[in-house]
Amino acid sequence: MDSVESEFTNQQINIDLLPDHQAVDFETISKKKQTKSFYQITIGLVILLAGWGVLFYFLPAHWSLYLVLGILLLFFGFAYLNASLLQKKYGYALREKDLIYRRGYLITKTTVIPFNRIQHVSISRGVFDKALGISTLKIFTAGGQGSDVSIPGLLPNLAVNLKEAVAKKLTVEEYE
Amino acid sequence: MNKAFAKPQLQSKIGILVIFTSSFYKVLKAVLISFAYLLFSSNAKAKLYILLGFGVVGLLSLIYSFFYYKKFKFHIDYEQKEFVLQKGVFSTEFINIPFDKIQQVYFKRSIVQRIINVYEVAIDTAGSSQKEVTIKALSKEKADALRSILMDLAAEKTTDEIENNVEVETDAVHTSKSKKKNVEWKHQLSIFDLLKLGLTSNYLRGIWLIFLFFGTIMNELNQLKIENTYVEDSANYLAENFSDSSGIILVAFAALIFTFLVGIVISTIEIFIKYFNLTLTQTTSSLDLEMGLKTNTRTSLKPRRVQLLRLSTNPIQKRLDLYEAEVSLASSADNIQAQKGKIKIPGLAKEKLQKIKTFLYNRAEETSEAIKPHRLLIVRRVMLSLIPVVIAFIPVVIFSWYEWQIIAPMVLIYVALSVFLNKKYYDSVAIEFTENFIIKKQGIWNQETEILELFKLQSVTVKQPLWFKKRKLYNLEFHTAGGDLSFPLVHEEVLKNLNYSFYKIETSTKAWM
Repeated sequence: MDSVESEFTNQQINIDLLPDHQAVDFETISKKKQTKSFYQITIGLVILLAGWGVLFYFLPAHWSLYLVLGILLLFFGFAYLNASLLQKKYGYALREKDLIYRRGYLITKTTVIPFNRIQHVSISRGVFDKALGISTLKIFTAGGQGSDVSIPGLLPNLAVNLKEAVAKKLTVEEYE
Repeated sequence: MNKAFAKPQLQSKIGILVIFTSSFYKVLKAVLISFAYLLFSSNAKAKLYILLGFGVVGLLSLIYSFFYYKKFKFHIDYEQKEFVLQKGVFSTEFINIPFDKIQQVYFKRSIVQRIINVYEVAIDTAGSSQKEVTIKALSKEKADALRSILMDLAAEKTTDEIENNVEVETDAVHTSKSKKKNVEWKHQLSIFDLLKLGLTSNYLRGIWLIFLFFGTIMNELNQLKIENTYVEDSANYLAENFSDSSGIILVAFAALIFTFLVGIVISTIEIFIKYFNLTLTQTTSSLDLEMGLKTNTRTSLKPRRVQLLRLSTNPIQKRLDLYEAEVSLASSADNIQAQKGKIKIPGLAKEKLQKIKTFLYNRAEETSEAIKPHRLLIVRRVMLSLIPVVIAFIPVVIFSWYEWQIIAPMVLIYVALSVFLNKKYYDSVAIEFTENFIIKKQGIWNQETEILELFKLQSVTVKQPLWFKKRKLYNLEFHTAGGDLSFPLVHEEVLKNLNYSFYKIETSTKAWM
């Protein structure tokens, strides 16, 4: 609790006048995230196509093999489409006291995490991330998986800056 | 404070027995199939080998238990402010739990532990990687001492942040003895109460348990390749005597009633085992709960640890003045969805329920305008309920479309029932955003009220499916350290209430845990 000496205010709160979490401008993430997804999907596709090729070579020709190929291609076509649609929806925004992260095309999810509820922040870089020069910022809360957030496709410098900015907020909150 | 438990120490000697039975039991469970084989087979030689095998396994477990006991040491490091546990026969593992990470210390007692009169002390932590730590066998005095010391240390470490005056009051030099005297009220379940609870509870769970039970038995039998003649005989009998449609309906009806009755019995037995001798005591600083027939557990609840409160009842129980409170505590991230962090207290009278609420929240009850989801929720739920029908329909259409006289009315009844129930559900579901709480109500038969104190929120997720974009409808998900609370299909306008939630979290300096 605040000490008694601190200036005492007790204004009425009007919900309509509170800062609106929907009225923020989202920052976009790097296009390289899409490239990364494409690489990953392509690798999966190549492996499965190779598997199909082996089957095709050794098994007698049968219509079901072509059906499998058709489903495979359709599935991966959808995966590529999905990756490019997703790209547009990724977005994050920092406010004074919280962080907002948006993702998802079919179901767009927006998560708001107040800084004073963040447990810790970390940066992770996988093989693709290193090759493409991007990072993923992970933010952990005590609220379980649904509440934790990882923001992909950030430029390494930006990720570090963001992490430091968030970490700074965390320590400031503690001494308040 | 005297430095009890400062030196590394062992468990009670008799604890070897507990370790032995639990490890031997584990091995036995793994080889249950071969045990069953032993019972059924007539091969004497195989029997001998298997028995011999069991003997060897038993001996090995005994030796293992002895070394496990010798290597298992624990102590409290007052300098480093942590509880230290050291264990492991082949490789030694050190577990350090800082005082402020200790969530709860409670007792468990299995039948073996009760027979030889020792207590199992479990320490629940808030870390994400560390799981619950247990000390299997301690004498009553030691267990009590360890618990009160650890709980005091855990509280001490964090009291400076606590605003909840209830806790600060007792923080002084109170020993565990004087604490016990401050009993404010008590709630006990008698055998008669348990019976009432059992008969009025949700039977679906009991029925589900029967299915699970038979499923496993059938599975085991199939694995053993034992001819299950009963099933075939009864199938033949049914086919001979009840082949017309009215006969089928009669048999199905009888089976339904039978399952229902067994469901009641099973539910009642389950309730007896789980809540036998339930005692809830409120002291000035905590709610102490003790219950269980098979394993007796004791827990102590502090308001600060409570993240979500769920109250529920059904029309019959309401009449008998029986309410249930379920408390979700902050638990480690891995098992947040599991039942571990949830504590159910059934059979409370309304007045006791009120007392629990006042104790946990220390605030008068608040209400505000109830917000309903969009009516599309009914459509959505009816659609979802139709999925199994559609899937079941595919083989019907292919193989027995000529039975449509039976199938069509059944489907119609199902759809009508689904529409009716989902309409009822829709009528029951509502959310309130009050000054300090979010309150969600739902349920046709089992009426639930979930209460979430705003400053206990960790974060909020708003979901919008593409197909609801035009209608501006959103699904809400509130994340707490004790699980999520979600609410479907609200209009964009409702989202401004979230701004108030964020305002509340972000201006709060209270410790949420």
